[in-house]
Amino acid sequence: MFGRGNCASGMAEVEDLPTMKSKKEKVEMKKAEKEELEEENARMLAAVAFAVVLICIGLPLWWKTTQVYRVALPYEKIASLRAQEEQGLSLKLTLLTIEEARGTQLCADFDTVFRISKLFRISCTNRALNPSEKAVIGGVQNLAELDRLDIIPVEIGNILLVEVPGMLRLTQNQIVLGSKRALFFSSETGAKKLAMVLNEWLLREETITHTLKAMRAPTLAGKSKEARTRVPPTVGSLDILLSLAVPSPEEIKVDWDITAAIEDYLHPFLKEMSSISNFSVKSQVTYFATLGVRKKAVNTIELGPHYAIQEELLPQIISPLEKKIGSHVSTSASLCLVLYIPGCTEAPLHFYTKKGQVVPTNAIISARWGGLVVLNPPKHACKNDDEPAEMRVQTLKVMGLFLAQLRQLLGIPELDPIPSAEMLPLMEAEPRLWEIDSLMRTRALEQVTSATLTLQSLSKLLGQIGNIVIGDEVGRSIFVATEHAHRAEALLSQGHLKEGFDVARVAFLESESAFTDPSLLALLYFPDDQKYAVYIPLFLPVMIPVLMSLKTIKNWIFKKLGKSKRD
Amino acid sequence: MYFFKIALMVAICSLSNVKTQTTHTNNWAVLVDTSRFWFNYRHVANVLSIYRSVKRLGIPDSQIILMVADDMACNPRNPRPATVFNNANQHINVYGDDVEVDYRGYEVTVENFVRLLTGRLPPGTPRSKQLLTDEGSNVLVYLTGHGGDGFLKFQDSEEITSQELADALEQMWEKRRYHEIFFMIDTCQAASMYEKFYSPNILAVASSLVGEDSLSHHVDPAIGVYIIDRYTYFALDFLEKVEPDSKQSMGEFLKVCPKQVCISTVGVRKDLFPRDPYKTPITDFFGALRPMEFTWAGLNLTEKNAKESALDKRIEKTTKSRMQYVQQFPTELFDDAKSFKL
Repeated sequence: MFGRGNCASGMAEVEDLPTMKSKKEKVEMKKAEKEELEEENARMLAAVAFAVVLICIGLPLWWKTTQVYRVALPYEKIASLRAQEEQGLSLKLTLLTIEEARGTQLCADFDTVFRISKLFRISCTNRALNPSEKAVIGGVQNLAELDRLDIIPVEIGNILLVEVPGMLRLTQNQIVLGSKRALFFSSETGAKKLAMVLNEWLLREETITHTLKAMRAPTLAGKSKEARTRVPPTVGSLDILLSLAVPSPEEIKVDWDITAAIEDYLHPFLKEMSSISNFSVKSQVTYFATLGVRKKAVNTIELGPHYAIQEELLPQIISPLEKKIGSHVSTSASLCLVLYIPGCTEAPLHFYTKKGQVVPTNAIISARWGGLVVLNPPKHACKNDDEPAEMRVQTLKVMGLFLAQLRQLLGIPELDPIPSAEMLPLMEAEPRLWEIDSLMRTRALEQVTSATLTLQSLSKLLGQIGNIVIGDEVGRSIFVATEHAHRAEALLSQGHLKEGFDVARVAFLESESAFTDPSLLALLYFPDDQKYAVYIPLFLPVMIPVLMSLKTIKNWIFKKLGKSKRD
Repeated sequence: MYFFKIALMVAICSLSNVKTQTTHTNNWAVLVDTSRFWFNYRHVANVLSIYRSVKRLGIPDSQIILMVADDMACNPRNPRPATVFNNANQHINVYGDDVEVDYRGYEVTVENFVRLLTGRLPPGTPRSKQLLTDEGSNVLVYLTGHGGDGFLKFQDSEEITSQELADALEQMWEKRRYHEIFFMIDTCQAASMYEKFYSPNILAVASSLVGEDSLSHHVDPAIGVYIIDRYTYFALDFLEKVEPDSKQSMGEFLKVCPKQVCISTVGVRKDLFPRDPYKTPITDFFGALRPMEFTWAGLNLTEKNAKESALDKRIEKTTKSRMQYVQQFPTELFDDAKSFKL
């Protein structure tokens, strides 16, 4: 390399360098390229890892953890409650006739008449009276004895019709409705009359249908008297508050054994009614509670000088009186029965109708509130001016009026008379058994309808607002209510009145507790626009680089795949 | 001729019946004041004045829910402590000594208001804080405070939107918790609050339309703040002349406060209300008349004699041993003086 011709050796050196350089360089370049590739790989893998963790793991995790806790509700089952709008009530009529043929004929007639009934399904069985029964009926002396007979046991909700041979010796009327579940008719009665008595007094289909229609669509139901006086189903027990109101105790001293009155007359009545709802009785004596309306001093021939309250002023009585009575102390619904004893200066007090007629009972009643009876002190008691008059309350008369009012307030109606048919008069406090049956039917249907409406409204609300929390308690109540509503409908349509009523009551109470649960407040949920306001500042800065690098990752992957294909 | 006379009489009687026919069974009132601070004295005076009118016309305290967000009577800036006046001549102290406020101070929140209306209160809420209406109740709802387009401000920190209010009233309808509602609102842009209502049987009146402000009436220089708002001032003027047996109608009440005196236009929403307001008596919402009927016959009960005597004996026994006089000086302690040791 040294000593050869200058030019030649120099040229040789010059020529060698580039090849040597390129070899070294090539190796170095390849190394650098490989490193770069590895770096790029690492970068891309890191980006892929980010994307995978954020999108495939993070996103579902976030979705799952921010899910609102909702118990799955039986929406279809609740919706299917609506389909049975015509509630079927089933009833069994048992016919006992002298001749079996007559019974069969009557049953056939009843089938035809009640086939058009939408609410009731009547099934009729009949047989002839056997000789012992005939003898027993024949030995009866009067209607009261007939009523006390227990010919065959009758289940709750069913009716027994007995043909009485020789009814004429007991009564002029063709049909007699007893205090238990039996109806007595004479041999001359036709099926049409019997069906009318059954329909208007016992079944009362029109009233029930009207009540249910009013519950479903109150705006269309109209403003009839039944709509106003309807007793809505109550959660919990009903309070009955018995008050003795004495506005001027300095003028008159009242002696009334309230405890005995309640125990003798009110408790037996409420005991029979306890199968329908719970009651609690409270009593008090209130002083200085006045009626607060203008009284007119009048003088008539029959009553002498007295004070009159006109019918137009009656609506103003209750509110001021109620402040003293204090029925708002407890949270349960209450009915007030007030006995008002006017003092000597405002006695005697009488109510007058719009037409100017005196009301002999001096008793007024307001639906859903209670009743007021005014008892005037006897004339001789007020004669002495020096000392207060003494007065003893006639418990029988007062409790008779209170019981009549309480029956109306609790839903036992006053039935219109039907010619040649009579109801045996009620001589004691307990209600008639068929009245309780009738009330039970109405209440059971009302409670099922109320539960249905509540559940449907609740399912609509919870379905519409997707992020209200449905807790376990609420979910359980809704499930139980739906199950029981279905079962109640089935039981009622099969004729089991008592079980159907109990199940309907559970359905009603559970649906009420689900609807009024404090956790179902729309304000507590997370509305959508607020969701965006919270999540966007958190996630957007993180997601933007990831999303932007997705394109680069895609290109790199395709490049890699293309290269491996070529290779 | 005879027939015609009778027909005419029947027609007249039925017409007059239509006017006074009430189908509700009881009345409730929900009166809400939503604003705090001393300079909102007029809102408290508003709501207390309506409270007084409603009480005077017969609705008992047990059926009025009064929600007042701040205490003006005992505010340290009140130059006349324990009083709230609604007029500069300070004739009537609307606070009085028998006011019953059910939700006071910080309890007046949107959540409590919606819970009250829908009935979803926690168990153990006292009865005076519950709205125990049923399907025969006519409810008067009165709101006052600061409002805007579509919202009402509560306590200067939260708002209730008109949609929430409409939903709450719909929940009330679903559970049949009212028969008819009369909705009165005295705030700025008040009409926006009733625009979203969609439940039936609601009659609504607002002191101003959307885009308008409701203005206050006058200042009391002795107290130093505005005392009452214009709409409520004129509404009270009308209500002062109403008695429990008045025959005035809701239609006349809706016409109170014309634009010349109120400056803002009173808005009314009648499309959800089935009856004609001119045929609806004002006592349907402001009074407490309950329909009554006569009981013509009682039950003929048989007397229970034996039981009664037993009860008499029991009562005699208890009354005998109940009370006796205590000796003025316990001499029995000193009867045997020797045995009395210290």
